[in-house]
Amino acid sequence: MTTSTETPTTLTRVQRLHRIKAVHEIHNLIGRHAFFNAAGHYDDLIGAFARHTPGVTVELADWGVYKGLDGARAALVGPLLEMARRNGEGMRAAYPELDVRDDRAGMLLESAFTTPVIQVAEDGGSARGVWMVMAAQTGFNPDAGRPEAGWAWVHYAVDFVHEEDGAWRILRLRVVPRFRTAYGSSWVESSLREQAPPPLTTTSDRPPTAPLNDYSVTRVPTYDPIPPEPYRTLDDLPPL
Amino acid sequence: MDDHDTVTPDLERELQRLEDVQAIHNLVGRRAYLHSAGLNDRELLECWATDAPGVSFEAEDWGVWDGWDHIWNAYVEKNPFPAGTPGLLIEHTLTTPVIEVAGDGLTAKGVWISPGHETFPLPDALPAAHWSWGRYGVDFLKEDGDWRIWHLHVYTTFRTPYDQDWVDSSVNRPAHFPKEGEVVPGMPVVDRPVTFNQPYTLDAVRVLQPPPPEPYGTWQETTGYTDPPKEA
Repeated sequence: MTTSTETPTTLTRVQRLHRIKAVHEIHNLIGRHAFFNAAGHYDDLIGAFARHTPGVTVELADWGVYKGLDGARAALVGPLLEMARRNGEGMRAAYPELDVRDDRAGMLLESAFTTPVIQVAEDGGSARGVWMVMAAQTGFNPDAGRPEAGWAWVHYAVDFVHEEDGAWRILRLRVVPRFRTAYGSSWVESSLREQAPPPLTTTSDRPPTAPLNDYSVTRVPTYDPIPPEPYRTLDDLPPL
Repeated sequence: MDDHDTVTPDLERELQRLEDVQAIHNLVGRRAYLHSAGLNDRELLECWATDAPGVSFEAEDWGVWDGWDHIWNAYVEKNPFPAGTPGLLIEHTLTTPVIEVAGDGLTAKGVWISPGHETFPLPDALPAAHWSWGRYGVDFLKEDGDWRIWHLHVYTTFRTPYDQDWVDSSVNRPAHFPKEGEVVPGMPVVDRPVTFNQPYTLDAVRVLQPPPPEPYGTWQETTGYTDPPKEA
């Protein structure tokens, strides 16, 4: 029986089993991330990031690179809280008859992770994965005076590390938008309109690594993120 | 730690099959990202079998191209929307996998449900956005130790303009669609007719196509996804 070049022939069976188990655990880690995000469990979102490995980064769209666990919180949780604040403010004004106590009333952020490509390093200490994510989103739109349903499709690129306590955690996270559009108009139509400013409350530590490349009638398709190829160690990985 | 003394042949086989399944997930995933980027040339070079006989590609209501050179001609050389086309956007996601590796480890079969979208440039108009759902039936083989696509069949579930539901577009076919069964102008004719395709229509009763693979021992015990189906 031949062995795929995705599995180096120098590995013992125990090491091979560790790599297979790693893929399963990474699926669960990223799946939990999706469920926590949908349910607004913000502490659990940050709990998925590396605790014992330096170099945590988060980069969403063209918002820049946020560093460390504080940066991850600023990049991921900050915008969600700001979106919720804007949503709650609008909901209370638009629906005074409703008892809107939680800012997230009427919001929906559900992201389904598909099309995984996951490579575990030959040394078993890290992994890289990419996903195509399709999301149903809803938040209060002040122009419409009501919650607005929409679609958002993005690509996720994630580096993982196997930490000293045996857990796989996120080291680097990058989200590459494809389009975001209101339910009633296509991404072609939406791309021609001015986009709402991002719900950012803090500035990033570094500028974005790539320009925003979501849908536009003049842009060409890009191969970004690039699905990972087999690699040996974390240090061998190209930029995310 | 070496563990050769404690491992049975059965355990080694099961370990290998798990690695094979993951390699196949990565292969079809990589194909999806290359296809989304319009890099059909790299897809064919990096993901498909290049030396094996019987390589085939069946695309929805167009039919089957047989042989790597014919697929290259249709899918790369005569691709009406090559890489670098402004306004083009294609994403065919992969969900709901069922994968079986042959007992002899030489071939494998898999099916996926693929929700997606497509945006095609149009002459003298804005690009047209569509929802595009389909299914994949794929046969794989190992070539020089790597899993490669051997037969790829894309089955239409529906393709419909963003602002038109698939019931309506099945009755009122959009003017910018090619006639059913006709390739996009400029693409070469197929080598074989459609073996099976079933987009949504008012009178269609859904059938089990592609059939999710069952466990099998060798390729001789099964059929390919671009062969005419036994039951449809």
